[in-house]
Amino acid sequence: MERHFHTELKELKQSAYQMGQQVQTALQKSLASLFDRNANLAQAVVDEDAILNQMEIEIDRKGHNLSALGQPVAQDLRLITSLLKINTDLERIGDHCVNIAERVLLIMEEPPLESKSDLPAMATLTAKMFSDALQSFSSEDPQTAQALLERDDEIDSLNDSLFFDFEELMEKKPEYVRVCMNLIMVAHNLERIADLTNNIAENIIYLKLGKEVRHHSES
Amino acid sequence: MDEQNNVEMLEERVSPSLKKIVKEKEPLVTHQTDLLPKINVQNLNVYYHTTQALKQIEIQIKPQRVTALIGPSGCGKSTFLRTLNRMNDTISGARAEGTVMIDGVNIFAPNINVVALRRLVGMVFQKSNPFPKSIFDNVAYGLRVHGIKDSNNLQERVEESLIKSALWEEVKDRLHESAMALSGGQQQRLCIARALAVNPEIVLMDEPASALDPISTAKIEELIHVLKRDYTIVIVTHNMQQAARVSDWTAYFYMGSLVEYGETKKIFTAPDKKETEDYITGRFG
Repeated sequence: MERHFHTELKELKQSAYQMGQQVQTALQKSLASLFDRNANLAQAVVDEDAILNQMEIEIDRKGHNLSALGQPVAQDLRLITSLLKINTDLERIGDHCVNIAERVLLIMEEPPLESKSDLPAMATLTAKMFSDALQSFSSEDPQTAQALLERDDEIDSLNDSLFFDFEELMEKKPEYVRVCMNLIMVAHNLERIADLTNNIAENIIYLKLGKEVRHHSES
Repeated sequence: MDEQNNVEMLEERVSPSLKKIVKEKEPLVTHQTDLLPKINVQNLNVYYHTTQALKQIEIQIKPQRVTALIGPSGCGKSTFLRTLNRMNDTISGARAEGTVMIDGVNIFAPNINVVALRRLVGMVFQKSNPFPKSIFDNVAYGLRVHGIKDSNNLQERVEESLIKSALWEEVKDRLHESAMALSGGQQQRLCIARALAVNPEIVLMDEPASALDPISTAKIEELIHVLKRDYTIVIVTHNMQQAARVSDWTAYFYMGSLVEYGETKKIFTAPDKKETEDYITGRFG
């Protein structure tokens, strides 16, 4: 017979997964609004952030109640503490999606940038990392989570090269300064999303294996 | 370090009170020198007639730490506890094989004085069991049995024990009133004072707070935390949260076997064995 506590814990995890899906939608919409220059999509991301904020509060409340009333230990304790951290990371990723959408609204006031950049590649990779993290969270699969940790360097390197590319472009074509500055900020937001996705992956490894991998920990 | 030095070092570390439980001095074991466990159990098997209650138990209990024994009813944890001061000897048909070394002395050796052993290894039971005597006489009882008659000495030892058991402030003005008039929580602390009066080094506790209200339970738990500075404490509890709160080390028993033994913070966050995880999270048992 399953304990009532474990039923509620499963529901909490399901709520966090649903929040992850909502964040994934925000990420997809913000990136589509950037590459399609779609102001409606960008505005939708900004408006829908309130849903994520509400979800964060609700998950926190349920998690604290379960901790206080169920007095969890071992895997249950790891799941609750990890869920609460993942909840915060998801909400922060949602905020970065809003930041991207707000940049898109500013970029759309400027002429389109005609030169090519690595920004689409960086966006695709970030979106794939988040999607894999969400799948890994759903199935509590530490192998996929571990593989994610190794992809973060690629994002950092794309971010660095984008910065130099846009810097160079601004020097050559001052009329693009405003749009380049906004795109540098978009790249920065993507880099932060990838970092937070890594945090989620680290928490998935901890909740499943009880193994600490943060800050390259050995223990 | 040569063998002779090992023996001398070990003998220095064995307390004078422990030496008294050995009727005739025998060579002490020499295979452990550093970080000597207070209690070292090897290949312990305990039987009640033909039923095996404990199977091949191996555990090293650390000095001046609290070790919690957990597991479902009938898993052998209370049998194990009672083995540590040979209380099982009083049960008909009970027999033990293997070794239980306390500071390097095998308590199953034929030359062991069991009465002295039980003074060294005190015990507190689930239900408080004060004698129908005054508070003072309850604490002084063991001292008198051990031949202490001097009233000043008795007074001093009773006061010291009641202070240690965090009861002194509540009873100092009514030491000669009946112990039966104390509340359940006070009676349990009186029993702890009675156990401490005879200067044990190890205190065994068999569900000491299971019959108490939350405030009395908290007092007992706080007391355990303070007492471990001076004593090695082994506690049986069915309350997982209590085990987590009071102990430094936890041993999980199941069907007579020791499934897992480790630091409490590890057992209650990331145990190595799935069986332990299932038990402490309430998925089993």
